[in-house]
Amino acid sequence: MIRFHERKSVTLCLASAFVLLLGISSASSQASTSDRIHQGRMLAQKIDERDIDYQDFRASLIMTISKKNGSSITRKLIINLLEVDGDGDKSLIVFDFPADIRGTKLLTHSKFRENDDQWLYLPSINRVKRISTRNKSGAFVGSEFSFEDLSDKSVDDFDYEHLGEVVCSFTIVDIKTKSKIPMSGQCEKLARVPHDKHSGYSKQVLLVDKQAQRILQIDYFDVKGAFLKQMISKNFSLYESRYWRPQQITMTNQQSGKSTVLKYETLSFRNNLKESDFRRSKLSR
Amino acid sequence: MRSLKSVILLYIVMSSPLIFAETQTTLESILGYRYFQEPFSGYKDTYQDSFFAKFEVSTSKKINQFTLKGKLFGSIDQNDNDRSYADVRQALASYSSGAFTFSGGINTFFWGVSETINLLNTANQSDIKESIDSKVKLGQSFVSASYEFESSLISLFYFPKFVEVQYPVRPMTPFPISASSKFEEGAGEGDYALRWQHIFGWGEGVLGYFYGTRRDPLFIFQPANLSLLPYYIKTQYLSVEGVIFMGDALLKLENKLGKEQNNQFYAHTIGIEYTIYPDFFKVRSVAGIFEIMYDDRDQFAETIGQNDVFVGFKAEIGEFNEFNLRAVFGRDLDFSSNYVDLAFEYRISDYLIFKAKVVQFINVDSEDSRLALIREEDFLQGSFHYAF
Repeated sequence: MIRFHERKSVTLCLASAFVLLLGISSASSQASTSDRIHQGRMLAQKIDERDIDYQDFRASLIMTISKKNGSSITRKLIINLLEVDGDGDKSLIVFDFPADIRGTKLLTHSKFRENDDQWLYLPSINRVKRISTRNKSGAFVGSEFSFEDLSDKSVDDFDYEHLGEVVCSFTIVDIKTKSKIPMSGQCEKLARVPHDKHSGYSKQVLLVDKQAQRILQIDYFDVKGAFLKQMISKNFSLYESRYWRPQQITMTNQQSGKSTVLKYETLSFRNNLKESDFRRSKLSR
Repeated sequence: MRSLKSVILLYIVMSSPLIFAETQTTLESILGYRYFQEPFSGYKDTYQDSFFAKFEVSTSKKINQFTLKGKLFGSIDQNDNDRSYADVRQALASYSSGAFTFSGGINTFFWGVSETINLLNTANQSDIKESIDSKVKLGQSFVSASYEFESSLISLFYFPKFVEVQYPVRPMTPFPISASSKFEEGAGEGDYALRWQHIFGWGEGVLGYFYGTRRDPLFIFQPANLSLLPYYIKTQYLSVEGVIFMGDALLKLENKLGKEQNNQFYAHTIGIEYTIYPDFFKVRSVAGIFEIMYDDRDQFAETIGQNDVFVGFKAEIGEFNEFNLRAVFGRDLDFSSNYVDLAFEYRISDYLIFKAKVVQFINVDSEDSRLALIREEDFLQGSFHYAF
């Protein structure tokens, strides 16, 4: 028989134990959250380091923008990228199709700690126009890619959280033989929350293969937290024995049903591009 | 009728991809129809509507440090022989070595930043057959040298050959414009320009200097034959232009301080552009435009405005941004003249675009000398543009 004070002390004891357990659980949960944040940032750094010293990159690609009803339009463009030490990369996009916008150029100087600088060259009137980069969420030439999706990012531009591992599969393509090799393995899920208050996203969830940090998929959530877009990368090829690039990227808008497919026709690294190729004055020359 | 046939024939010929199949050339061919709302009731009968065909062939090539560029424009009009013409918009070679670039040939330059009237875009003569607001320019011969710093570019230009305005039958002035013209002493003998451009994080600016012949002529009324004689005068000016980012808004500024006929003048355009991205009812972006221009030369001003305010917007609409709309309302603050400029574009396919344009002078005071000259020239125009 347990007396009242004994019962009370047992109750107190249980309560204390419960509080203690809660505390332990909470501490453990805090540790686990901070671990996940740390793990997430480490993974982001690993992804970032995969591209270090690429020097420059040049690709010609076909962009097919499709409506939900299946109708589509095509854009052909050439992308030039230049790696910049300690700051955002410089990019020059030249449009080749449709013919009425052939020669239109978009030059971007990405900046890690301030707004990017951006210029648009309109060959029809031989005009170089400085344009605002505040519109992060605006559609790039009517596609499902926003300017934000295409801009260079630093690890410090986001907060991260590692969400665990899942089994995933993808395909790699030998650039010489063009043979496709199906792969499967472990992938890591990484959530990142942009710091930029002008971002069109509240969160992005990346699926990254564990072996070589290839980004297979990104789920984008709009500022209200709703699932907005999904980007899927396919057919990865290895360049310069180090840099993995997908041959095809599909961005699908989950809310409108529209999609944009980017297919690379040519792709090359270390083309000896110079800083002077990315100057404003070169746009009209 | 034969003219109409030749318009259609030219369109078919220039649209054939076989002609330029072996080159990296872009060809745009245009077939359109223009309708003037007023049957001109001036000194002679003239046409009120007309079919037209135009083409523009452009090409560019880079060979090591050399760049070659060419652009040829041609037009044929059913009822206006003066609108049947060709112009070399570009035929130039550039050579770059280190920070230096040397260029020469024919080019169409764009100087200035404003959306409506560009006060500083004075290197080229206006092609008023293509635009009464001086937006479209004729090719201009030039040589230039420029030196580039990290964030700056200094360029020196010489324009050896002066090109006079080529007046079509319409827009028609109350009195015929004389085929001959008069030049102030020293005018028409070559122009010089110096431009220093600098890029800042928050915008960019250009300091400029121009010395030479003013592109837009004054008119001398000749009572003997009731005509207007174009009179080209010398001009020189210092200019400041720039764009400044202020949050989501873009501030634009064009200023010039100069001297013409021994009189000092001052002119400016100040504007603000604010863009929103509503993504609502398929409206992708809407840019609000507000600009004020002032030119103290009054009736001797270089453009159709001299103390005007412009309010308007540009919009991109559609899932593929296939609709583009631009509407600008202009009001002259001195004479209370009002006019509207509407432009619409619809992309039918990757190759074909439909464009429409309406210019409407709502009311023009007869004292508003620049606008009064063309106040009966309201028109609407539709055209199909095929490019490959």
